Amino acid sequence: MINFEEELQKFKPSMEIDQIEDVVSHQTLTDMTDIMLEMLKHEKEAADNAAAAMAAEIIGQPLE
Amino acid sequence: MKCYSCGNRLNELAYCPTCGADVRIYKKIIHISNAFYNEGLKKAQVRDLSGAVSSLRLSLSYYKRNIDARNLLGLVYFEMGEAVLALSEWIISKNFESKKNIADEYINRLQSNRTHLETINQTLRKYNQALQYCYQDTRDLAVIQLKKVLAVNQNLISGYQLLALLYIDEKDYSKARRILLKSLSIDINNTLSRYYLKQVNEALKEIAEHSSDKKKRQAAMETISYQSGNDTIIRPALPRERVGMSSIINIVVGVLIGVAICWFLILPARLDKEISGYDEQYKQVSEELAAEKAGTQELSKSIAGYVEENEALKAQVDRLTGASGQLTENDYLEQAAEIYIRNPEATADVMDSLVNISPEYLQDASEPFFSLYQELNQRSSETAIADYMDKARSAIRQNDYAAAIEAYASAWELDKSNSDSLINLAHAYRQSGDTKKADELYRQVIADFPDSQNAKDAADYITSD
Repeated sequence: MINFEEELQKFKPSMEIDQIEDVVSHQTLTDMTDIMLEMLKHEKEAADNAAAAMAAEIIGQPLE
Repeated sequence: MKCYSCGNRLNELAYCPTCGADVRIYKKIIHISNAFYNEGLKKAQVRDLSGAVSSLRLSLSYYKRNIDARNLLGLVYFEMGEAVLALSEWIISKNFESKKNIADEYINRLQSNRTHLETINQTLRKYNQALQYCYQDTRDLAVIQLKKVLAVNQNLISGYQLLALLYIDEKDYSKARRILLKSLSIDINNTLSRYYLKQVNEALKEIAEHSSDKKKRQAAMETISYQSGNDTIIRPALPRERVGMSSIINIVVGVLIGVAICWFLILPARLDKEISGYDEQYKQVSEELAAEKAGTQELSKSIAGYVEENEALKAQVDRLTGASGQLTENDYLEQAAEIYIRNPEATADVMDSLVNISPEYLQDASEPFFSLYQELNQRSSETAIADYMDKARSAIRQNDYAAAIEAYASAWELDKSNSDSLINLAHAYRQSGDTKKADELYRQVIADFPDSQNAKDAADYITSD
């Protein structure tokens, strides 16, 4: 059977109109595209770093 | 669709035609977001608001700039009574896309009607207060507050759910069921509402099963269940109507009650009205009758008066005309005149006749009658008085006091200014032995002739005071 106290915990206070600013500002707006871009950014950084390291290696070796 | 890198329009290729960025995954993400948006839209169309919310939030979690999904989410939140969440979604939507965005219109509509907005805000505050009451264990107040909230904000799903929870806690399962069904009419697939409803139905069934009443049990057992789309609807069977004896008894009781109401409430009032009308009429008639009676009495009095007058006039006429057989005043005057004419010396006889004419008659008598009477009286009275006095004195000498009294009385009648006649009369009575009458006459002498010698003499003769 239903436990009142337990069920009561599911109910949260409703936002009031004057709290709308807080609601909007605290919204988590990160979506998959942001994650994807982040990932792409990291990939790109990693790729750039790898390219730079390789370039540094090549430059460090004498020509035969 | 625009490129995430340069913002230019993309085509069907896997890379951006402008900047060359790999857009395969990006496109996939957008497609998934749109798919969830479509799903959310379908759910919203069949009033599965909770389902729509979850689909649309998924859609936005993939692609936050899905304006349609965000606007629809705001709409769904508004329909669920969550005005603040709705507004926040529309504001964010407007932030992402400021031109040609329907969110702008939604925000303006809300903001333009300040009263409505304030009312919504009030309901949300009261809901929060009700929730506080629940935490403080003042559940009665919470119920009252929630009823007020739901009366104004009839779409607040969380309000319905909280109220249903309170009713369930009070074991008022029928009320809880009613509230939950109302909530499910707004949001048909709300998980929490469905869960509570299931619990309530099980509780009701349990009560019915344990009830000693066979009929209740039967009704509890008799449920109808059927499929409606994805849902299974279970509801109790409609109660069978009672027919037969109980209906007849009910009708008879109803008729008796109606008759009793008419007898005790309606009929007395009508009777009173009628009676008061009759009372008015009776009063009117009584007044008229009283007036008639008074008039009749007046008439009777008048008639009696007329009759009396008539009798008097008749008697008078009889007297005058001699119809009664008695001698009239005219006869007496004629008699006196005849005696005088035959013998002027017979003054006593003349006076005897004239004495019969009353002074009252003389007052109303005609002029000739009166003048003849005066003449005869004048001529005869002096002689008559002298004759009477002689007669009286002669009677005294013979000790005939009766004759003396008669003579002196006649003399006194003829001339009441002569105190001698009166005092002699008194003496005659005294000598005859009638001292009472004598005293009376002596007093009369004193009264009528106070300054005379006779008065002084009379005073000496009075025997009693």
